[in-house]
Amino acid sequence: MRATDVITLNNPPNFGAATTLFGQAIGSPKNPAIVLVASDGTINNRCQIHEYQNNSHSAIQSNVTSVSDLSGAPWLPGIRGKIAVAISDGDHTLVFNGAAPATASPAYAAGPTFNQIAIGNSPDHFPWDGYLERIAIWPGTRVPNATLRAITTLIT
Amino acid sequence: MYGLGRVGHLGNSGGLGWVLPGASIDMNFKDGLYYGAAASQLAVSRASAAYADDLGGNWSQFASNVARITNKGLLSEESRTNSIRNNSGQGAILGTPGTPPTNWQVLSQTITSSIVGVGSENGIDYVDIRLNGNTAAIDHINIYFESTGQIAAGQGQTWACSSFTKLTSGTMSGLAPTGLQPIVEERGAGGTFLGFGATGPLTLTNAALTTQRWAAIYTTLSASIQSVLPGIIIFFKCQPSDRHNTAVRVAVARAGGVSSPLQSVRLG
Repeated sequence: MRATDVITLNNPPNFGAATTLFGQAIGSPKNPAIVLVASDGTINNRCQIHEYQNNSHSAIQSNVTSVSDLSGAPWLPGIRGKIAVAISDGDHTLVFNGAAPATASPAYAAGPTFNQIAIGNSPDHFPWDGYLERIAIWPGTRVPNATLRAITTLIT
Repeated sequence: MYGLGRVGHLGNSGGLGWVLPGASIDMNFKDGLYYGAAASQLAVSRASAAYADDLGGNWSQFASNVARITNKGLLSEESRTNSIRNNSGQGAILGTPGTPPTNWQVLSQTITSSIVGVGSENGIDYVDIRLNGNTAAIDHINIYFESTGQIAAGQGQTWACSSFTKLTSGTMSGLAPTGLQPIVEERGAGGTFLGFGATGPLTLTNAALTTQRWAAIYTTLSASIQSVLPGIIIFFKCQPSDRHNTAVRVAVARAGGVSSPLQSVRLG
């Protein structure tokens, strides 16, 4: 038997009132599957990028309020994708492969409680089941949409 | 320049061209580039060894709790169980025909065989099997990695069978359909053959074992299925000079869902 990979980051950064997460990976065969999560170690306070039903997704949840979940363009198994989520108070934006941003305006008390990073799992839930090529974190910055589109554009 | 702070958490402001603009942490596992956090900061909890491959097709084993990073990236997988009890080929006894590994079946069709070696290549336990071809017609031999009826299965399930298999002597440059077929067979009551799925025939070479992992993926069809039987078929339509000089190395057989290889605990 091979056990599940539970991957976290030691010495995570100090998160501020806004956050941006980026991931580049080969599309997962699983549903759902996590790329990257910043959280307080619970599902009640988190910001994440993931894949669900072959679509790119991002989600935020704060203080047990209902989840703000955004769906972007399709992300099929075996296909490379670049995904980013940016959040700040009242702002939740998802960009996948340079496409137009998907947005929501959730009630959200952003980030100072984030103190954990999980990579490719949630943690111990929803493993990516594949290769994560790259992750990046802006723990105190809501990266502008133009930059989100630029950094997620696939170079062919 | 870029801020150093606590391992660069202040963010890159342009000094490192590869870093995404303004990112405090940029971990490019695929290319081995790290900014703001080193690969050594990854905390991995995985209670078993596991494999990962690279862009060259080389599989490497990583110890438990070690991040599986290759030039394909960082591999994160859920737990998997190998349905093959003895996937590392333990228990084989050299001879003609010799004794196959525990729980394995080597069924001669038109090819007879000998167990000619056991050992480990790059940490992977293997069994070497010499093929004794008889004619220039289509010869073949079936090697099953389990006993019939051992792996319970149902209709509509997707099964994968994989193994590392290489050529250790001789040639497989003979006439088609010489080569390897990974297979998943459907078996019914009493082990009755119901059907199968396969990949290939695939051409084996004497390149490193870790570069030759072959797999078949099959969704079972029969309503009468009770079990699956994973294995390989070797077709051998050879030149006369090759008939008694060709051997294959078989290792890390695996049956289950699609996943990276699993080497089980060695028997005995």
